Amino acid sequence: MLQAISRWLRGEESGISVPPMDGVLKPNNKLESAERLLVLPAVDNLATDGTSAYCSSGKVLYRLKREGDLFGAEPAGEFEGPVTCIATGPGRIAVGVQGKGILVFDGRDGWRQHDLPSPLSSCATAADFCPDGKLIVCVGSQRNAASDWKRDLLENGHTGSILSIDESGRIETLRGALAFPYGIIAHGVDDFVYSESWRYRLTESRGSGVVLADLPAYPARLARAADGGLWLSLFAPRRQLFEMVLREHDYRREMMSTIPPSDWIGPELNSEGGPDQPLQAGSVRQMGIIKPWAPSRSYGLVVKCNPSGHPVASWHSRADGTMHGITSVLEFGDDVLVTAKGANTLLRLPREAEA
Amino acid sequence: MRQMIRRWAVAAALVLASATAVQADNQGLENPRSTDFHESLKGKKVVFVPLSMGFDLTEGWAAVMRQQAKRLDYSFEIRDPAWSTDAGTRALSQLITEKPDLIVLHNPDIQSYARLIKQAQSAGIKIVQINLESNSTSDSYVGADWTEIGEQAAQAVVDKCDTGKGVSTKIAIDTGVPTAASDVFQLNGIYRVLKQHPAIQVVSQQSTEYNAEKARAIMDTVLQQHPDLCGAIGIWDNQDTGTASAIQQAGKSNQVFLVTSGGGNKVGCENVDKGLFNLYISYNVPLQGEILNEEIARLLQSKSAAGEVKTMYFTPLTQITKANSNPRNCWTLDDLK
Amino acid sequence: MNDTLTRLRYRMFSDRMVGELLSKSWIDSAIPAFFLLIVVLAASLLTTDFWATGNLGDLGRQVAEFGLQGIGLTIVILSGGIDLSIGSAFALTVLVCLVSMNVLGLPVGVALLATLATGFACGLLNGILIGYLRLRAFITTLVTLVIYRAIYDILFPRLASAIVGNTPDSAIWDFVGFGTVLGIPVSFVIFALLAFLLHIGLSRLRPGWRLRAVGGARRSAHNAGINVKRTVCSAYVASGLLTAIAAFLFSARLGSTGADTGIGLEISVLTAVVLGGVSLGGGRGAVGNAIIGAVLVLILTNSLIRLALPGSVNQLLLGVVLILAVLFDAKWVKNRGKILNKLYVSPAYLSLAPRREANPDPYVLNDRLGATELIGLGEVEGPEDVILDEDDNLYTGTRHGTIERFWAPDYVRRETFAAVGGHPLGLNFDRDGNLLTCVGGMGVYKVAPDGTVAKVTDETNRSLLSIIDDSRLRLPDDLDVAPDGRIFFSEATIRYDMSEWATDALEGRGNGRLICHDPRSGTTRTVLRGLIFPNGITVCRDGQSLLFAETWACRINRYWFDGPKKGHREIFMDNLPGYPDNINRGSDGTFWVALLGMRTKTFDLAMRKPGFRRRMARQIASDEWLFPNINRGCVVHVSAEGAVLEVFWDRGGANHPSITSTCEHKGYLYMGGVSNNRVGRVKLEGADPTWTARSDYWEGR
Repeated sequence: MLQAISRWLRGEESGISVPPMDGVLKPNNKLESAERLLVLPAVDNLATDGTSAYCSSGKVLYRLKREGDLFGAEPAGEFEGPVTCIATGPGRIAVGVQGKGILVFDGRDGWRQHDLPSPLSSCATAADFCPDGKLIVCVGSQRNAASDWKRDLLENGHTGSILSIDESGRIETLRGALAFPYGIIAHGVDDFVYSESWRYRLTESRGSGVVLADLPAYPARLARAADGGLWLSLFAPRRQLFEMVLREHDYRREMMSTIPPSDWIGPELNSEGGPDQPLQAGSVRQMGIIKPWAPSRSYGLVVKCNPSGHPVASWHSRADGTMHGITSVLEFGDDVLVTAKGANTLLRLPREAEA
Repeated sequence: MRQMIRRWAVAAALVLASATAVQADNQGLENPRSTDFHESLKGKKVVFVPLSMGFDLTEGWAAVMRQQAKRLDYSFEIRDPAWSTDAGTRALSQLITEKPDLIVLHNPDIQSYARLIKQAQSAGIKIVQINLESNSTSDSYVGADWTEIGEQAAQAVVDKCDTGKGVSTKIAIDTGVPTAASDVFQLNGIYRVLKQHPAIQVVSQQSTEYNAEKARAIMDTVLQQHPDLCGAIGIWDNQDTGTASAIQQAGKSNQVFLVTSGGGNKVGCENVDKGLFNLYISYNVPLQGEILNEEIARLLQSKSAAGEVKTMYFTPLTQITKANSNPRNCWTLDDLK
Repeated sequence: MNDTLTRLRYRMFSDRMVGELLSKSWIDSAIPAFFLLIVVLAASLLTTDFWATGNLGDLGRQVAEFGLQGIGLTIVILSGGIDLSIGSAFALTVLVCLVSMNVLGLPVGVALLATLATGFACGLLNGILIGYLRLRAFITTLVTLVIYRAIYDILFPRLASAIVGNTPDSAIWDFVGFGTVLGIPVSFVIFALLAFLLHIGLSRLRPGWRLRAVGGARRSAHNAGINVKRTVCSAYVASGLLTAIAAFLFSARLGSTGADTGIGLEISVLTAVVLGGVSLGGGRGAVGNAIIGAVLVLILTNSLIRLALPGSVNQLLLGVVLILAVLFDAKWVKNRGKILNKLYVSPAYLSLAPRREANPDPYVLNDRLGATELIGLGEVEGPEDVILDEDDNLYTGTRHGTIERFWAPDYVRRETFAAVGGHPLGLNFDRDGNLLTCVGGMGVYKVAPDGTVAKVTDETNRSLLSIIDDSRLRLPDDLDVAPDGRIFFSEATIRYDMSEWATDALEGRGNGRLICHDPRSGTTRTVLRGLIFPNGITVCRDGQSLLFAETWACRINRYWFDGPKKGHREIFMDNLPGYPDNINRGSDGTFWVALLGMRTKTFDLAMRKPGFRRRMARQIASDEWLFPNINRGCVVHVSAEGAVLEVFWDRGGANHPSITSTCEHKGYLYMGGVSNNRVGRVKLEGADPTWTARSDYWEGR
């Protein structure tokens, strides 16, 4: 409230600030130097049912097998559209497929499809099973598909919702009007924690509400940690320029109507891209190198929080690195696995990370 | 016969006419002098430039002058320099361009306004100087004769402190602003008398710049150096409250004969009653105010040019001691408003 | 429709004036001057006959005395100190003057000398204590305030009667006090003369610069060799002398002095000086400020007296005004830099045609520059232009201000050919083999074959309507030599320096110009104005026209400087897909154009939205601004008619992300980039192995 008043007093000019990465979030190179286990195109959606780990790569669902100290991936299913989320429960696995809805496999009846009504079907961004068997699903947006997240961001989208689907397929809306929920940890229909990307915060369903606010990057999926805390992956950085463009309605509308989405000003999963990529002043290559602190459209960031929700450690890949676009993280046995979707790589964090 | 009737008719008519005339109410005659008097004063502008407002002398004069201004319907304004000679000269210079009809001037010293007074007079502005003179004379001066005050004060001290009369023959003099009329001419009067009584020793002569605290400090030091001080002459009661309090603190109120002078307001009289002042020479502010008023009225009416005829009136002095301090000699500001 | 409106609005109302005005050095005086105007207006409305000659003459005399003291205090504050003793010194000098005139009856000249000597002594004491003995100015002048006052208090009562008892009989004395020259008071004339001389001295002559240097940055001034102690001492002596002159005028006017002369004067003079815009921190201020402040304070106090307010209220009001002035001064000094940064960038409307993709597209990506030979990797920083001489040695400029020479044929041995300074940009040889170079930040320089550096020109004619002083050269970029020896060079922008050249991209306005220097007459003249970042220049083979690039407008123009078409200008190549930098001749009558960056759709859109760019410049850090994509560049081989023959890319962008200049020499193409740390060389298939630029220019072809 005080902030709102001071912002109104100071005028529009003051709102554009991105919290600096400091303290626990001080940048390092731990993600860039992490062990690279596998290369799979668009690798994403890590999940485990306790015994096996799963990930997706485009339309294919993979099971990860340990091979000594490393991992191998074997295909476990292929679908009609890109896999947008995976959730596992005892003996069950649920997969969100863009354009189709949720498919649940519980071993006995094969893959059973739960149709989601049309506006909800293309953007199931994250899902988690409750102990009582209900599936809680995050739908990022009703207007844009999951792969169109950038358009949703630039439209200031807030049509996301959180649904619960029970075994019979009945859908109940738990939350609505969210700004792209992209990660969830559910203990029950009234006890869950979710990340809201365009509002860069973590919220829980009970208690005071906001767990972590004003993150310096857009949060993606969450994962449980053995010590009761949680793992948070952040898939793209916030920048002053992006925040500014979100407020410049004239420029933004014209950009969105005349320029292809891949060339828009805004965050990306990686910094490759075509010739028409917008460049920021600090990202100019000087004397042959790009500085690590240069403004970059993509970034790699994983954060570990303790049970009370405070960050205690972070892993980064900076502007001069390539392991960007972290969309999911998973604790699997002794290992912490991370998918860098922007680099198509599955990473394992150094073992001394967990402590 | 016809002629007689005509004559009687005319006489009857006359008698009738005069009778009717006599029978109307007696409404008196218009007094042309009164009309003239009020006309010539109405709407004129009088400006008072004091040393500063906020103390008894100037507040008293201003109150009296304001009343006449109200009564006789001319404007009365005050330009207050707040003790600053520089501000006063500036105010006076401004007034010369503004050309009021009359300026009542209170000079901080005998030289500062001298040239400006001459300029104002040549510009046609009439000037009345009040209580503190300048070297330049103007249309009128109303105020104390400082030389006379000095002589009276010195005489009183000599009577108390000449050889064999008091505890010693030492006296102290505290002055105000060395270049003011109250200082230069009073000192002249004092020394005129003292020259005739060579036994009297002046052990200290310092200027206090009208500051009571400074006066107190000076008297303190003097008493420490000359514990057998017999008399003290101060040039103004407002600052000499300091001198008196130093004497009182040293417990020498009975020993040191303090003479001072002032406008004669109630506070001064009370100090005399309390024994702080032994002799108070009053120049009687209300009386000065009335005389001022008369001079203002006279000059505003007068057809002669500014500076053509210069007059002065040194107002009478009253010596106030414990014996004769009474309401007739002492005034308060409320009395005058 | 929206676009047309935007274009018209930005054509007609340019925002650049605000930023340029703020960057002027006299802006500090502008605000107090504005307040003075308001106060004068208010005073003339509230008080009748403000403009009467009597009143103005009076004001003039007061300004003379007060203003002189204000100037004296300004000089002291400029030196980084403060002088609280001016009130007491004033009283003392008045006393000396009046004693000389009234009491001793000395002639006016002698009295003046005596007064000046007293002022000199008062100032000297302060100067020695503060300048040579390094005592703190505030405390020291406070002490001298007390000392001088005490001396006055002791002497004055003894002399008072004598002073007021006599009037000097001198016509000159009366003339100084009351005379007028053509209706203007004499004291004001004296003051005006002194103020003018002091203004010249403080702003244009060395003593003034030294004074400001000492006040602004004492240690640096000392390191620069200025005698700090003597400068500080002389500041106080000057203040003492000016006080003495003011005292002289005062004595002539009033003819007497009182016990309260000069009391509180230091406060009023300080108020006046601070109100006028002199910064208390030191180093900033001018005579003009002192005068503005003095007039302001005098009009204020006079009006207050005239309004018949009680004297104490006047003091209170003056005190409040002083507090406000000091607060404002502090805020302004702190934030001026920030405000200027925010307001200076004034984007304009620039519309580029959408890129047509020809079929076949000559700009299709290739990797012909992927495997260049690298020369001087890590040894040269910022090789904006490269050139080779007749012995095949390679020359290039670096951002350290040197021109490096790499020896043929292997280009491994390197030496510093010349240390020029700045950042040498465009390079060209003239007919006699001298290396001409445009040095960013300095001007056009010439290096003889033996390495001696000489200046060719560093200024041009100033345009009348420009707020910025554009007679200086801020960013000369590239040059070329016409057959008769005239040097044509481009100045990329007049609004930004070398370090901020890319901010000009954000503006996209025509801030640049084409300039010609004629060595035969030694004159330099601006030929074309209002060009959008003119960059590369090359003289065409007809010897009468030249090509120049307008970088942000993505086009190359041709301009005739001689012959029947003299003065005519037309577009040579338009709607390039990138930003052209240097243009150089190639073999077979062709040209080489380096594109230092490529157009992006988002940036092109931003160039049509000046409001967006302005808000971007103000609201977010400069590191985050949207930028032309200079992480990718290419080299274009162009025919004499402007058709694209071939394009060379570095696909990976590791070696040559952005190329600012190319040079063809004996079958090889050499490249440099202003943000790069290497020079590249690639073999040209099928190019004439004997062709050099020198032969093309001077040996007829």
